Amino acid sequence: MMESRDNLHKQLTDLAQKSVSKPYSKNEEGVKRFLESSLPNREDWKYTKLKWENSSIALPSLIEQNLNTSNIKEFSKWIPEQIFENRIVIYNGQVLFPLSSFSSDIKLVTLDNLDNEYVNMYLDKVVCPENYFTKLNTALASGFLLEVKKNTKIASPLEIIYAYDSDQPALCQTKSIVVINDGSSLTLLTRTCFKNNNVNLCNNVFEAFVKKEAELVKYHIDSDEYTNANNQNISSFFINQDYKSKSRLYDFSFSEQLARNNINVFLKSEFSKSQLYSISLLNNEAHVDNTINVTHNAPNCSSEQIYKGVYDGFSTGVFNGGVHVCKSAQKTDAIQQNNSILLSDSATIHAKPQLEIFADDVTCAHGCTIGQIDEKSLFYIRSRGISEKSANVMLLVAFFNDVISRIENMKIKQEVMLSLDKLLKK
Amino acid sequence: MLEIKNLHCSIGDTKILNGINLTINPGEKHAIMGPNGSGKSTLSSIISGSDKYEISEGSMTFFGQDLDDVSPEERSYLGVFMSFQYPIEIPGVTVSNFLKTAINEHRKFKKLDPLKGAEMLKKMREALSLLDMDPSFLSRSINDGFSGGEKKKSEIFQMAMLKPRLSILDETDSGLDIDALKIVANGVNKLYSKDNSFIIITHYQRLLNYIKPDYVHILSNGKIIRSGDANLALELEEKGYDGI
Repeated sequence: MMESRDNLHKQLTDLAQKSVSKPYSKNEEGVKRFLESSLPNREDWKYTKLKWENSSIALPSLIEQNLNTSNIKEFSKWIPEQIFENRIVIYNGQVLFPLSSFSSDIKLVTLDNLDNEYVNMYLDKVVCPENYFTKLNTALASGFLLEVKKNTKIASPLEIIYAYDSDQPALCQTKSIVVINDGSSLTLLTRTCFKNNNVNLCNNVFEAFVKKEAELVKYHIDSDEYTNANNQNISSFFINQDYKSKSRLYDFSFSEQLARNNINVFLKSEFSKSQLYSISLLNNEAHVDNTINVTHNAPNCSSEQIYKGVYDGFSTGVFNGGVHVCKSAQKTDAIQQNNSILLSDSATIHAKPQLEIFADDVTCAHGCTIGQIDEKSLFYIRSRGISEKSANVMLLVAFFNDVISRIENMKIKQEVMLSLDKLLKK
Repeated sequence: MLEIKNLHCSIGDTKILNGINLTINPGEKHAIMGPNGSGKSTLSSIISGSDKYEISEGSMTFFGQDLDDVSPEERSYLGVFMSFQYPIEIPGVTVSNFLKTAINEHRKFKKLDPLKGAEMLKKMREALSLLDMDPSFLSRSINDGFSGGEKKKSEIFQMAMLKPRLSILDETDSGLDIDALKIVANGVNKLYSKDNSFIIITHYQRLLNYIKPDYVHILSNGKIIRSGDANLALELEEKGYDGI
């Protein structure tokens, strides 16, 4: 088993060494840093094993980034339908400008065109601590930086479609840097789409700088329509928050892929607020690992995590939720909640809530439950003439209500409800 | 309507009902009283189709149909309704959606088309006024954050909508203040007709001042130990279970 793991490392190292193209200016240094790194500690990846660790399947290669103009039309039919005014489409890590259009209040620059000032301000500034996979992303990914200017509220959400298309098993990477300047707000809807059934290694990094009194809302939907069971998807999020800023991240996992979400939030300055909400509805061999680290670095900040999962078939969930309250972060208000329902005997959830508190005047609450559908509730609903199947759907939707009721965008709420309904009625 | 013969049941190794005999005809109101743990709630759950209990002996028929192996939802279609002692909270499912689903499943069973939205709303408003309830109630999550009184009113509201032939009120009076009790009793009385029947499970004579029973049964250790008319409840109030 160890051997296959080393093979993956060797392949990725080869790719880094061979990479002659320079996606952006710091690439050379990034490659160097990656080459010096070693595979992540097993303890950090205790419950999540990438496919290559278990069998000798084809290793990923670098993804081809050019799309012929003649293919764009066909490609545009394949990607999810645009539901908001603003959209950015990323094709194999590159911004696909012909399919992207957005408000002029949003500035978009690809990383290879970033000027020095921005490189110094934003590149690799929030990825802390770096790990093996974020270094791999820095070394070989292309990507973009988008910025909302000061005191601007972007009314319509911005969709970002990360689409990957390759005949071979590929290393699929994009680095996204989002800067929301003082007093501004932005809502994102992100989706990751894979056009083929290969065992891809997807390794996206998302970094956000939410400045003074700014707000970031981000919804991510993984549907089974655009991902598949073979996909190995590592996503790393770094949210850097200034004074009185807010961030709210929603994650909806409805696919059969293996997903590892590394979520890192830094509440750097007073009165900043972070909210993390998640729904996993998994079946078959789906695997979702949420490894969360919310760091309270300043006083008077608040954070909330609500993670809800329903696991059927042989699916697995991992909740590794950390809240770290530094000594200076007095008056911290942190809430962490993780509830899981196991629908089959073969489904698994590993729940590990962790609070590390070094300040003495704080409110930190956490709750973790694992259970099954309540028979009494089921009987109540059935006694009204509602079939057992519909009653089950009703109870599971009710179970997710803590998160659903917090979705503010009606279109997204509707889509999530429809997906839940469709999957639960299967 | 309902015929229970020598019904025995248990949960695990514990016997709960020890040979219940009960016949209920259309238009009758039966009160069942008894000390805590005598099997009152078990009896109502079993009639409604709970599979928590094991029936070891006896039979139960509803309009001649054996209820053995009939699911709770099918019993509901046949006309059995229970007002729960502890109604379940379902956050995110509104009262109106819940009832719309229930009513349309009833209609599907009867091979009728789903009820049109406007018609459904009209029926709901009528039922609400019967219980002196505000229409805003319809858009609340069912039983979620309801007071004790609201939960019981919500049960009777559902009863009014589903129009059962046999209604079982399982301690509907517990947790109700005197005004709510009157409203609930009044609602029940308005829903009464010569074709439908009620089983009223209660600890207190008080509710029976408002809903006058034709028969009163006293349940003890899973058996009906005495049956009589409404005066039996008064006697019980006076003497207590030990005196009887």
